[in-house]
Amino acid sequence: VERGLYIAATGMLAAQIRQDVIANNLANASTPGFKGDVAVSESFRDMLLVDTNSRDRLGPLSTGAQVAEVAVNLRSGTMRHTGSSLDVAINGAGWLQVQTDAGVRYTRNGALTTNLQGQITTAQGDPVLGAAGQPIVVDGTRGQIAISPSGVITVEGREVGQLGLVALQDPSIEKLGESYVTGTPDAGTPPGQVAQGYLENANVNSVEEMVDLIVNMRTYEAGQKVIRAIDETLDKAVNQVGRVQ
Amino acid sequence: MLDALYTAASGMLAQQTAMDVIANNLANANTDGFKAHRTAFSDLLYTEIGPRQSAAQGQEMGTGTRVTAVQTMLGQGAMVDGTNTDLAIVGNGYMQVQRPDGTTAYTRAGKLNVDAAGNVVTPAGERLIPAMQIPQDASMDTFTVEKNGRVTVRVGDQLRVLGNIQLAVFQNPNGLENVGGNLFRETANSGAAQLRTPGQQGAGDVQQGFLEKSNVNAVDEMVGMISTQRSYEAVAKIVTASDEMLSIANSLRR
Repeated sequence: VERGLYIAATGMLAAQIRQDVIANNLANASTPGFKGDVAVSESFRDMLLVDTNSRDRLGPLSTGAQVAEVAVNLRSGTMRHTGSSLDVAINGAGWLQVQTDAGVRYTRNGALTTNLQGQITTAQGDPVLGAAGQPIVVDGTRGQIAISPSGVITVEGREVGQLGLVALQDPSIEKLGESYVTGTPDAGTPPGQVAQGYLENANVNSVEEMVDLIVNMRTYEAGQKVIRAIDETLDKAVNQVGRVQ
Repeated sequence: MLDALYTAASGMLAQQTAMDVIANNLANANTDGFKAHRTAFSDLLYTEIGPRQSAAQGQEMGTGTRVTAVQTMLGQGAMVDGTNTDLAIVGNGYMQVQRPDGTTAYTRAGKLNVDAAGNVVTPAGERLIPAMQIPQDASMDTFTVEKNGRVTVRVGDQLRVLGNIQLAVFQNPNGLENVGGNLFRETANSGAAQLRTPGQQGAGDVQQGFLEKSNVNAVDEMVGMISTQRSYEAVAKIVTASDEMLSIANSLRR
């Protein structure tokens, strides 16, 4: 019977992790280009129960559940029109390359700006890399910046560079925070097109997350009920079965 | 124990900032030359909750969101008709004014006035750079600003040139600091002001008789407000739900 206590506890622990994942998804519902996470649960390996007296096999039993994986949902978010010349959304599988202190990182958060050197940067100030792996310099003192669907950047009609989009191999993508991910470039997949004046919304669906939240809380509650029921059973076993009148 | 509480709290904080920014935008919807702001979000660091079991299976969990920047949106505001002392800039440039402490500030709000001493000033009394003085017997009806920035006024039959307005442009106009009173100040991020003759090298034209209103789009702001409020509500629900879960855990022990 005590085994049940621990099985129910593993379910509650998994529900806590799922709760954390849902909280992070909803907290980032306003982060452009954010990709939500999905907590995937699995059961522990089955073990074979054997009656110790008769040596009869009683059958398999799993000893609980755990979160096997927190998978990144890479579905594209919807596009939002902003009209700002340095907002870009990527229509397709591509990622923008960013030169950070720690090396090249990738982002889908296209709310870009410029720095003092005229380099196009992310909101964190890290330069966005062009097709040749170099930062793109625009002269902020001169007129309108135009970005073509293929990522070619022109200022007042003069070409100054091209955004270097890359597709990443799905399983290699690891989120690092600050809207950045690492991953292995995938040369075989076309990176898609750039939409200037748009931002990609987070791909978080509030309704789904709310439903998950309810389900998750009730799962947690169910785990608690199981533990209390087992506790009551143990209470009877300890305090009533053995009572001397 | 349940990071969800703190994760959700980070979302509430960020949405509060977003709401403050929207409130300021809407409050300044009728401010001449005002540039709207926008809150830029990004996700916080991720923590490993277990060993990576295979290349395909991540075990990282996010810890919330934060405001990375409040960006100034530099788009042109709408032009409205004004008097002959109203100037609008069509393009990138900024007019220069002198603040009371002697420093130079930059503005796109071109509502000019003449103070008691005849100086050309902003409504708040900052003098235009270069300083211009209207002669006492000049007729203000003849106050003219040409597209290239030359300011003239007639005194009797004579045409007097008061000065040439130059426009300041910046390498990184996103880096300008808002100091209130429709003014911007240059910072290490914006780079030093480069003075240009209006109409040349992308500085923009000076248009007399027009005023640039704010570039706040009321509809966008209202939609942003709704989405901000609902996001706030959603993360607040996470806090309540996490609280309930903790309460459930606490009632394990009867």
